[in-house]
Amino acid sequence: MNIWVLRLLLEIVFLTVVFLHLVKKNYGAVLAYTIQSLAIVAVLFNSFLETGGMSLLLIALLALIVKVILAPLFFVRMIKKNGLRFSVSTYLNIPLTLIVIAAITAIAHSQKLAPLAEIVPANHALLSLALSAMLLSLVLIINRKGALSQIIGILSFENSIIAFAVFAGLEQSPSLQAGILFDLFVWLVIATVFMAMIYKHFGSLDVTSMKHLKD
Amino acid sequence: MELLIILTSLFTAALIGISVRHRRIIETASVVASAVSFAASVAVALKVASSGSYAPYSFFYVDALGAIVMLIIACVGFAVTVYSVAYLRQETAKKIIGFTRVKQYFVLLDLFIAAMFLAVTASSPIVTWISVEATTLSTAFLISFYNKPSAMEAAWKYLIINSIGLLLGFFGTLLYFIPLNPLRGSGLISWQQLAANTAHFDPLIARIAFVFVLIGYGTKAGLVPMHTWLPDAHSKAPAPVSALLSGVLLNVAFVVILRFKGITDAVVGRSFSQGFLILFGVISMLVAALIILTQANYKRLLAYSSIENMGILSLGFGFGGLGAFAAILHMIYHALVKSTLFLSAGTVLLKYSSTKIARVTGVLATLTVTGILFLTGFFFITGTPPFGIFLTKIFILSAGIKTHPAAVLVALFSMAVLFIGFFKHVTAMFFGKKPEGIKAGEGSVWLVVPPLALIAVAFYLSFHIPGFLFTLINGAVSHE
Amino acid sequence: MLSTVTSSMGFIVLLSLFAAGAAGALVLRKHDAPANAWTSLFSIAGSSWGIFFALSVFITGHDLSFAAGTAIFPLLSLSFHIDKLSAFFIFVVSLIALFSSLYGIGYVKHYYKTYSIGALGFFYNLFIAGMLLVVSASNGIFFLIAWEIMSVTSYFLVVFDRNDENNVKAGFLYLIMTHAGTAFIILAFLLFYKFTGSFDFETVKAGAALIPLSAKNAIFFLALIGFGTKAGIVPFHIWLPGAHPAAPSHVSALMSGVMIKTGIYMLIRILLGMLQPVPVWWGLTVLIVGSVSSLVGVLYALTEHDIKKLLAYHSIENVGIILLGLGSALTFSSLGMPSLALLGLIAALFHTLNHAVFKSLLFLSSGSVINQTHTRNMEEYGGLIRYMPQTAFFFLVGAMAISALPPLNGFFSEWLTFQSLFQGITMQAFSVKWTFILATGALAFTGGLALACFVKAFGATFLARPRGPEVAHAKESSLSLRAAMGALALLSVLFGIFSGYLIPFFESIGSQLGAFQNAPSFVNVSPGLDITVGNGFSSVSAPVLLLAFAGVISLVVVAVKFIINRTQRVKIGATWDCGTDLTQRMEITATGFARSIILIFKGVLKPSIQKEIEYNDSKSRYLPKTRTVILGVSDVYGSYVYKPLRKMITGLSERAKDIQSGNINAYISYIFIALLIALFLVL
Repeated sequence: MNIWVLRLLLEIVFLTVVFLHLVKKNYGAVLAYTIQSLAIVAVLFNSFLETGGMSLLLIALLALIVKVILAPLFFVRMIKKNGLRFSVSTYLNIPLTLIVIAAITAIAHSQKLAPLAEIVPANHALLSLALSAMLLSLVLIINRKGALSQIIGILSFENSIIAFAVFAGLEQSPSLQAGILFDLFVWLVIATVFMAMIYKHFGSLDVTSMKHLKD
Repeated sequence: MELLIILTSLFTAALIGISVRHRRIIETASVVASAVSFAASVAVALKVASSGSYAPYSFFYVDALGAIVMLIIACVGFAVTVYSVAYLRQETAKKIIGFTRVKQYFVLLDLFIAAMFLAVTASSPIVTWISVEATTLSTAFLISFYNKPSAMEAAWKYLIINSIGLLLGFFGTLLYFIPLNPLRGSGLISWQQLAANTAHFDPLIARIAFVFVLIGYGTKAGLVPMHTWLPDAHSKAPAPVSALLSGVLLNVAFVVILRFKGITDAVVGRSFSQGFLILFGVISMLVAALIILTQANYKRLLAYSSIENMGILSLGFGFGGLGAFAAILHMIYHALVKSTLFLSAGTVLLKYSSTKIARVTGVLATLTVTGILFLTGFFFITGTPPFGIFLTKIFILSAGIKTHPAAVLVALFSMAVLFIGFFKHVTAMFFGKKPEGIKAGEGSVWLVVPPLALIAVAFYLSFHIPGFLFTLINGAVSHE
Repeated sequence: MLSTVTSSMGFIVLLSLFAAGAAGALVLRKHDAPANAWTSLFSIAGSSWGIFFALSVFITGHDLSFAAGTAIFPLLSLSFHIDKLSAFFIFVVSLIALFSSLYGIGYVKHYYKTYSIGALGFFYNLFIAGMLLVVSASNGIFFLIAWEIMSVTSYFLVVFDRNDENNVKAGFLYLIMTHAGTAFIILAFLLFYKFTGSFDFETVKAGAALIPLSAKNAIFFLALIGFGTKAGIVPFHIWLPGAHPAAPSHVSALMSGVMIKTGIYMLIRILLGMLQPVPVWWGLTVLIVGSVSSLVGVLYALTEHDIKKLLAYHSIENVGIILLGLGSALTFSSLGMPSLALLGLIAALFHTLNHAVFKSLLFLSSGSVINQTHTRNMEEYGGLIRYMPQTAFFFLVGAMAISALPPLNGFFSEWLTFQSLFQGITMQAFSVKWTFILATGALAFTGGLALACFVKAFGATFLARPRGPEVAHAKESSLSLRAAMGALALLSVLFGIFSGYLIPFFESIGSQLGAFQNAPSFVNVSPGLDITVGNGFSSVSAPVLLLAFAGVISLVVVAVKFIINRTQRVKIGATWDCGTDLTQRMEITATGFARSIILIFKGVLKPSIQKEIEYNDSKSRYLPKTRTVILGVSDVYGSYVYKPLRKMITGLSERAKDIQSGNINAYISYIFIALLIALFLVL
């Protein structure tokens, strides 16, 4: 595939993270994550096209099932069942969030982190972008008070790492990737169950209501 | 072969737990599986001691350090499984849990132990990562076991924080594959391959990678300031699970850091990783010691003590040489003794139905044997002679006094504060009159035997280290 | 024959006797009487063997150096080095342990059925073994192991009577103080290791020149604080008045008589043995610390009415006196006057022995009193001399000895201390001269106050009429108790009269230490047991004093019996005023006795006086029914040193807990920030 397409896919990943920062509704967040995952699956599919290994196709399919189909499905059901259209508030308001996003992106593109982006010199810009997507996902988890947003943040973090790995040429063998996906799937199930239980116990998905364990 | 036996038996026990509806069979299967893994682990350790390493299939690789941690997992795992049977029976009798919970408990326990075995024996860093992640997943429901809001809170924090940490660790792990670019996709890349290809590794990348691994797996190992989930999770889990979490799982995560440390050191020299380990070690010790001083919950207290001990380990490996030797010994002692303490705390909890220190008095009168076990464990873990941890602490401090006197000073201060804090709470709990309405007596002999056995082993190891274990420790140190 | 005793075998036998005592106690823990018999038997056998062993080392004059087994751990070697200094301390430990164990046979009977006698015997035997290891270990790590065994076992002895909440509190304070002290000791040893590369005392001694002066100074302070905490110097003494009384009395005797001296032992070993030469100001510092400790100790003792606490405060005082001897030894050795330094050391060692004897005697006799009256409050005693005449006599001997009255042993060691201080006053250097003048003043003052204090203690306990209901039931103690006390009283007298014979022994101890190689003796002992210091600077003769003492006593007895009493007759009838009979309410109490002295020192002691008056008729306040005065002293060290310290650390702890705020977003941000900081450190 053309490098421009890859670049576009990665930009989609990055932009969806930014969108996740700004979005107020849970459906929007799930949608953003689905688009992001789709972009990642496309990147994985690209690897299959380049090498032609059937196992890589299988991985891309698995990723498609877990990330693009199952995960959003779980989340949508969760949202519907509990009527959670709006995600809980953030710590920073939107202007501040934008400033932080700009700062983090600048850090990721700065000379300081250049060595990481220089792993594959040809993909310098792509790797910097993936790196900023990673850091932004972390900030997203910190900034958001909703349990669902945090879960999506972690998943988006994982997506960005995969993107980085692909462009840095650090992909693992298909069997290992399958193992990682399996882990992710189990994680997803557990996280969703926990979310439901938290809603049951605390009456909201606001993680700041869980502050009884101190000291 | 032994490794397959271990994994098979544990997975079989888990399957039995899922499919069988007789409590006794589930319990027996788990106990037998853990006993089998114990025997097999000893066999593996003996092999490693005689030949340096053991790699039956390309999928597995056990070196000296791995063998030591395997022994720890097996030993504590066995004791904990036996204790769990008695513990859960008491809880069922008190109508705290029902049969489904028991079933779920043993399935997850077996999976948890299997995941830990896999994490230290896998030859590939990625499989190790997957296994460590699997330990998180299998214990999440064990932490939320009692299904109370506070347990949910602990489990959620555990899941989220550790996932983030492990993803950082995953990213760091990936970075270590950079020099192996040409080998990409050619199946499993093992720890040895990583270690063998350090010549082409860019030092700057190696440093960045180590930072990610240290922060990432450091989260799982409970180093301050990534430790925040630990007191919550370790205090809310059922006592036997806490024993495994505190005594064993932390070490498993730490071993991963050490493996990467070895690779990093080959690239950039020792002082880099050592500096970081010393820094995190000192901070962990200080913060844990200070918090323990005014802690109000005895299970959290034990959890903070684990953080302190992880700090000591970190400090020891940071100082290197004699410090690394002592740190490995410390790891063994800590695993055994901390499990003893958590198991005894479990018995106390069964008796008093509260984890608040203020609600517990006169344990020596109500639970004489458990009380003595806990007191012995306290003196052991705070480094009172003649127990082994005294020596390991002195060795670690001696290793550091020449090069890092300031770190040694802070560490010594923390140890003193920790002793005072811990002792204050122990005094409050164990002496005094027994409260009204609580009958004296341990309840079941199987609540006493496992912790007793663990501390007896630790006590024995304080005076004599069997030849094969000594070989293993020296083998592990030589890689440091 | 003696050479076989002084072999490594002899010492191992010594330790194994106590080990057997401890192990047997565990086996027999279910049966009180056999456990008691077993542990007493082995501790008596062990301590007798210890006395024999120590004397043999003295007589043969050979150092004993050996390592027990090969240690698997690096840096640690189970090595012993027993020179005359060690042998002396082994002697002191064994001597007091012998009589304490003898006393214990009868004393622990009253614990039967309430507490586990097996546990008592276990810890008791290990405690003694720990002390023996402490004074013989020759490797820093091994020493620390022994030191902590001693501390922890004594902790369990302190909390043995665990149903009393105060004992548990006292034990808590004791263990944390001793643990904090141990941290200082560990740091001192680590500095040894840093500069000499070894924990072995002999290697450290050989390589002492490698230690820079700044590190030496640090070690000095660390050792002074670390070992001083155990020895009970002010202001690290706060655990001592609580812990010593809390233990069973025969253990108090061991703790107060012997255990605190292990701190002195290590100070001698390090300051005079290992680190020589040392700066002059070290010695002066020790002198000042000694002066303060002795004064403060005796002043607080005056305010006490708890008899065992009173004795505990006197231990602080006497440690101060020993430090005065040690401080002058240090100063003189730094000034290049080994002969004078030797005099100071002799005084310190002699007082160590004497204090061990009379303090354990006092603790044992107060234990007998407490055993009969079930209280430690002196205000509830009175008139016990009629019920317990022998105990009273033994207590009197101890009281006279501790008050340094000739011809008892305390007098001679204090006299020697005075002599060495006097020598210091003749020094030219201003700071040295004045420190010695202050120290002399402090010692003189202390002696006077100690006498007053024991007049109070003896008077309030044994004379006049019973003030408490329990006194009337008091009976003389059983044989084993009396035998132990009697033997110690006899030793007090003998060590006094034959002090001249003992001095050469102390000189030979000093001659082995680094500071005193070939120092000519400054003390002469004539065949008639006259002790002369310097070239006739001053001298004292025990036989003459004994004769004078005997003469005065007989004179007083004769005078009272035949001259004063001759014209008086005892007549019982109504007293002159309103026919009131003499009652215990007309006695002077311990509080009343001490009050005037306390008020003199109110600047230091900060006494609080509470008066309560209860009236017969609350409306007309003319006829008071009872009048109560409670005289207490405020806890100066608690409120000015330890409380602020505790507050500070607790505050830090509360700050540290802010980390654990409960907010998961904050937790994740910690990880993020840690990551960023670490990355920027790297890049």
